[in-house]
Amino acid sequence: MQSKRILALFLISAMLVTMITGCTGDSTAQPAASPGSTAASTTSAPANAGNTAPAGDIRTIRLLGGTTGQYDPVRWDDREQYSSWRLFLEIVADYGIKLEIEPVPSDQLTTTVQTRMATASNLPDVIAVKDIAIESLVKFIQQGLVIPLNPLFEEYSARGNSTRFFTEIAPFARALFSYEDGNTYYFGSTVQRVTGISNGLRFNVYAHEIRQDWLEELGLGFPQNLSEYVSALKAFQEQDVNGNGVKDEVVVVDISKTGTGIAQWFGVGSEMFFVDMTDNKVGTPWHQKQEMLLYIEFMQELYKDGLLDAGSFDQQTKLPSAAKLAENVVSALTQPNRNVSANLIPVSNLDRQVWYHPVGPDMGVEGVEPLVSYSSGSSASPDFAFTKACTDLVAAGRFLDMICGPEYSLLANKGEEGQHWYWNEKNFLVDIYDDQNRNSASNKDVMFEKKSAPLWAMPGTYMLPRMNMEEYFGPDMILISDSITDERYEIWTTEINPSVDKRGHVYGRAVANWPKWMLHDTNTKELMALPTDAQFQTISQYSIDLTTYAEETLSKLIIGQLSLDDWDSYVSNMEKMGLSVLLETYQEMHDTYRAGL
Amino acid sequence: MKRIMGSKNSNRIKQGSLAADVVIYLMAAAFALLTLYPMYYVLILSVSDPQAALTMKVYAFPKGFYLGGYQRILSDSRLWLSYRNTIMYASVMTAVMLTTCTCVAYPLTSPMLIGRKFINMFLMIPMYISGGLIPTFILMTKINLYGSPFAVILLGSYSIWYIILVRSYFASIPETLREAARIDGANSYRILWNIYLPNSKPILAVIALYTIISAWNSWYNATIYLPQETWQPLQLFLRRVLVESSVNLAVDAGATEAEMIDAVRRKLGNEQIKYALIIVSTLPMLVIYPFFQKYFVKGIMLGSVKG
Repeated sequence: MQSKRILALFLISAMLVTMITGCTGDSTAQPAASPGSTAASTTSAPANAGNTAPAGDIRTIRLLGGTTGQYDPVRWDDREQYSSWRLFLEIVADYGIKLEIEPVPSDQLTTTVQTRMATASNLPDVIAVKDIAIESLVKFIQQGLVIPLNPLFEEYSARGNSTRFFTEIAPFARALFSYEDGNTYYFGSTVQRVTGISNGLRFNVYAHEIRQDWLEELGLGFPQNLSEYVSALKAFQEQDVNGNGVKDEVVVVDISKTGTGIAQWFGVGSEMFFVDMTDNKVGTPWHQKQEMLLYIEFMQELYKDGLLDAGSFDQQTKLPSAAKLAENVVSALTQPNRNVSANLIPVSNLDRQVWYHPVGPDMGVEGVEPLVSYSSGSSASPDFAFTKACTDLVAAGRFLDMICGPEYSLLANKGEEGQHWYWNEKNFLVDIYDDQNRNSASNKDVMFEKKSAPLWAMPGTYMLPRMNMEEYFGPDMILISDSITDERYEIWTTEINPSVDKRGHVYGRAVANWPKWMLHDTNTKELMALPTDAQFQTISQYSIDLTTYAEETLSKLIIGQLSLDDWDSYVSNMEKMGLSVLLETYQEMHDTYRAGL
Repeated sequence: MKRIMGSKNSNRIKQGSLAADVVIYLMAAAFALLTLYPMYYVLILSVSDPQAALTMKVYAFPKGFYLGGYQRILSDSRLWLSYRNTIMYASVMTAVMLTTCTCVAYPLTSPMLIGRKFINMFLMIPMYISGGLIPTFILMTKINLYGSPFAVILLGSYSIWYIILVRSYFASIPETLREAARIDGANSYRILWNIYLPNSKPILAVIALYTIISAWNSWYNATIYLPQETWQPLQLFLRRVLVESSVNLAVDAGATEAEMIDAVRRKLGNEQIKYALIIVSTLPMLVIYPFFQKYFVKGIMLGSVKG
């Protein structure tokens, strides 16, 4: 019996040893690049590769990416039929690159990337890390699985595009993805707004919107203050504007968060931690007692009167649930990070024109200054990285140079010249609409007819970044200013995009020209550098529990399960859960980001 | 005799009381309804008008008639490719599974096998201790099976539990049969093929059935080891359809009204894809199940009754 036990223990040990042996080791032949160092050892390529690729000097780049984009107008398998894809390959060849693409279905991309990075096996030169959590991206850096971009745009920029991109055009892209060693590790879809406008609006304004067609149907004016807003909501119910015989017209917003649009009427920040762009300070709504009390009391009244639906918000789409929309009962909602315009929202009767029009931000709340919550529009996302398997830095430099260049930017974002856009006599880039008023660069039927599509539509942003660089879209349009002048708006709507529906533009322009009110950004993550190890530990330690407690508390306050009299105790609990600690941490991250600009 | 013939007694229910029968039948019907109605509900939702389905106004019969969800799934050529792959995986994995089970179990039943107890014990350890995903992934990569359908086949083609089942069943076959065959001049292979396998059809049928069902429902190994669609199985494809059908209604504000309405229609139609997916993926199993029901029951009972 004793011998059997010894034998069993020996077998277990042997299996454990073999298991551990199998887990170690690296299947790739390339040496690792550790953070803080420059790129991994190079091939025989010289430091300065010259401005153009020598004839015959074609370098190979292996790219792993997803085959479907956000909207997927064109299927990956059909790309060869499209002239824009052939044009893309010409651009690639012009930069002296041979691109070997390993396509993976986008829904499988995250799993594929995570397993390959975890085992450091089968790594391509460029890998799509879109949808990978920030924590994992930081770990990739710490484990030396990705190489820094700095040598690529400082030494290996063949035509200077990437150098200019990271230092002049989009320094925020460098600042956002810099690690504590000072190197930048990720690049991806980038939006650069120089003029500060898009379609004539300050874009991505976070707004609460009300059913415009119902207002028109009942002959009501557009609400200008809180009283008129509530009156409109009550009128929708009492007069059964949707005609189903039930007084079910309700407001549907996410009551667990302060990004309702309504909260901003009361001067409340739109996120748990937001950045005040006027003084670059990170704040939290839970330190805005006066504003929050006013806001919550207002929401409590809405809920008590049956005007607010607290349970039909879809966390995935950030809109009312599909069922609620189909029932045609949503009288008001909030659009997440949207261009401010009157938006068509789906409802059950598809033949009707349904518009939700923005409300606010000045709704006459006494004693508080409202907030205008918006995104500057200049943003970047960490979608791609060069892995440690990429040892040919000349090839990598050319690839990055191509991505950052004007030819690729225009093709990726706007499409083919002559098919989707053209330069007018004033050197403005003008979108092409067909005789049915369909934008040729966004309507998939037109793309299919022309067999041409911008690269963001084919193959999509999981395979190649979308470089929306306003810098390249019209040199004469570049005016360094924060305001939207009437002249510029006129140019935009008459010469650049005359076909764009302007119903919502009035609000957007008015909002954009309200600099006196405190502005803060809706996409806080777009203003934060990558967390350091210590910051990452702090965020991991406090973030989840604190956020859960804050959301539950806010929800219960609005539906009356908790009392406002105990406000101080709630905030005290949050302080114990790390509210101020996180505030400081995010402030550090924001300061780091700003220092990198 | 008097007690049985005349008087009321507590054994009346056991003797076939009508009231008891009614109660039992009613309870059985209720349980059957509880079990069958969800499946029926999914079926009628999948063919109802999208709006009615979305607002959950369908109860007993379909409201309207809409086959957009099925059309979306069945018109995709990738569906038939993945059906082919799944059928291939099911058949190959079943064949390999049966081979590995019988080939490992058979020698373990021989009393003359040296170290038999040791081998039995050795087999038990991997049942409880596994390397996990990362070591397996590294192994598959090192033997160049990443991206190959053999990665999925290999990982699903052995089971120590099934080996133990087969071994137990083989052990129930009288040893005298083996001895008699030896006397008649049969070697080990002949004994396995002509004696043990013919007498083990029930257990082999059970294992085959469970393997087929497992292969039909599998998707995880394909997600990890098959990055290309060429060899991906049905469940992975259906999952992809579901993910791709998630239409983001917050599209570019530059979209025209016609584009938005199109997005709306697709959104409403795509909500039903979930229900159509359930039907498409389970229908084959529902069809073949009645033919193999007895083997399911037998499989569950295997090993539970001794002697």
